[in-house]
Amino acid sequence: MLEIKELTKVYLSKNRKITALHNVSFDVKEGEVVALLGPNGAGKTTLIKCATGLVIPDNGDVKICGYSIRRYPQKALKNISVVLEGDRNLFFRLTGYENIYYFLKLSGKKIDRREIKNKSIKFGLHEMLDKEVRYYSKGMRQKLSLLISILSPGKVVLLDEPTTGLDVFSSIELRTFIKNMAKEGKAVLIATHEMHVAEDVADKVAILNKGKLLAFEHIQQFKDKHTEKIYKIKVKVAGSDIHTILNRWEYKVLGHNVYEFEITEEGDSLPSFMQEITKVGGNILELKVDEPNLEKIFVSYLNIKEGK
Amino acid sequence: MSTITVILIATFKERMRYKLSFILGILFLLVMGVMLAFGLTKIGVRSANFFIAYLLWSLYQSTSNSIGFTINQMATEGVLERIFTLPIRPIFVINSYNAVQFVEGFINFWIVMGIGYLIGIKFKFDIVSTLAILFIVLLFFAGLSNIYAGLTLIYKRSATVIELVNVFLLGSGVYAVGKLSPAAKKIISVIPYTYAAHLLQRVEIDGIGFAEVLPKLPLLFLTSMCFLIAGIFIFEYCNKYARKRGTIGHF
Repeated sequence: MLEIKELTKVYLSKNRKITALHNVSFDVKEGEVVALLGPNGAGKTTLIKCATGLVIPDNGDVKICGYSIRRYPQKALKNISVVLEGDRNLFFRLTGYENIYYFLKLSGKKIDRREIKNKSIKFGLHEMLDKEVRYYSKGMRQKLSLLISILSPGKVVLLDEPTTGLDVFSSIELRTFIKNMAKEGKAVLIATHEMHVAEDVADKVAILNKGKLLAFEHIQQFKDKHTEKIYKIKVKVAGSDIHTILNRWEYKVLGHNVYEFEITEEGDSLPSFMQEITKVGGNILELKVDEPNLEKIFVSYLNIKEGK
Repeated sequence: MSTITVILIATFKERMRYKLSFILGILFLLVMGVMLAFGLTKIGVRSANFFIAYLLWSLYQSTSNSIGFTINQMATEGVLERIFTLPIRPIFVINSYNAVQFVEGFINFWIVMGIGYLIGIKFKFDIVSTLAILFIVLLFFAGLSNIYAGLTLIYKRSATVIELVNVFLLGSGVYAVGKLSPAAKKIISVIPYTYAAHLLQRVEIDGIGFAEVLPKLPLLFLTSMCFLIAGIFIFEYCNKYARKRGTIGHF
């Protein structure tokens, strides 16, 4: 549904060339949510803008439902719903309802008051729809922008930092809406800094750094590939033989003859630890697996890629 | 048509919520017109003739200049980018806003004309000739609107340039109705605004009929169309240029 092909964009700033995107390719299929992750300046917003035609790339193209945004921009845009970053999505002097009317009508959608009412109730916006947007809080504006994109007919949904400014409850609600959009068969690309949002809604991650696509894979595969699970094993061992084990593995003393060992997944360390502990007659009291979240994996992944 | 209606409704509602600015805008046009008219009388320009030029200028002010302001404001607030992600060609969006501004400009035009009449300017009120001139000169204003909108996309301080054109047009309007050598009048006749101001003066002050106006309209139409076509090309160029630079809506 959304195909990004060999996208390259270089900005010129005071005779300096800044590569915002370098040969980036990936796609988002029907019913799929892809999280676009990357630090500030990675090229996420440029990519979203290239996909909407707001920025013309130097090379490459974006196809939406088979239509090239460069060759058939109007046909491509008919299939897009978008929430741009920040306060870029609304008329402040119009009411919430008037904004919905404006953007839906110009997107070619018929106005269904019942649908607007039902969805605005779920977003907690129903009572505010008759008020001018300038009286909304930042979070409410964000919710209204999202509501418009949800109501829009586009099959491809592009969201640039959609959870910025939202409270916990709205963020949870939004995540549910994103998952529902995917269930309805929409392709969703969400650029975000919030790893827990990506972890919750995304099927795949696309990681950008300095304009380059470093990874594009299923979120679980990415986590598995770049995670070392750490096993925390609480053991009770009596006798002097324990010293051979204490010399080899990292541990904490928890009490008299009670230790907690941290064993990484590396090589055959877990089986060999188990063998040795059995040899010395140790009693395993507890075994926990510590799996780092996406944020930790993302940070360590980028650090490794940057050679830090 | 549906696009124009949606934009018309939204713009009307927005205007109504800027009541004070809306009223001050009209007051500004009136006070400035009256003050200049009386001032110019003192240095020998007939205030009635000047008022005609000024009347047309107020129409320009409400249309072309207003589009520049509207685009500038939408870009500053950020909503311009969102509008450009709608499945409508930007040139069509801009000209839909143009159409809405024309409606507002027309209303302002007749209000200013009415005020002029109240302060003692004896207009002939030849509605047919006046409307024919206005409709054609609106093509010129539409051309300028497209140029202003395009400029605003690539040059964020375009308001200064627009102000310069405002002053130039107002000045050239006074020349058009003042005493000039035939050569100078020929030169400024290629500017649709000054040519239209001159024609309007002949219609509304000197009282020439439609039969005399008609042969002069093709030239006005031709020069106005040239500006409109140039405006569309300039807007399209600026739009593409801004997208290449990635600066649409950057302030």
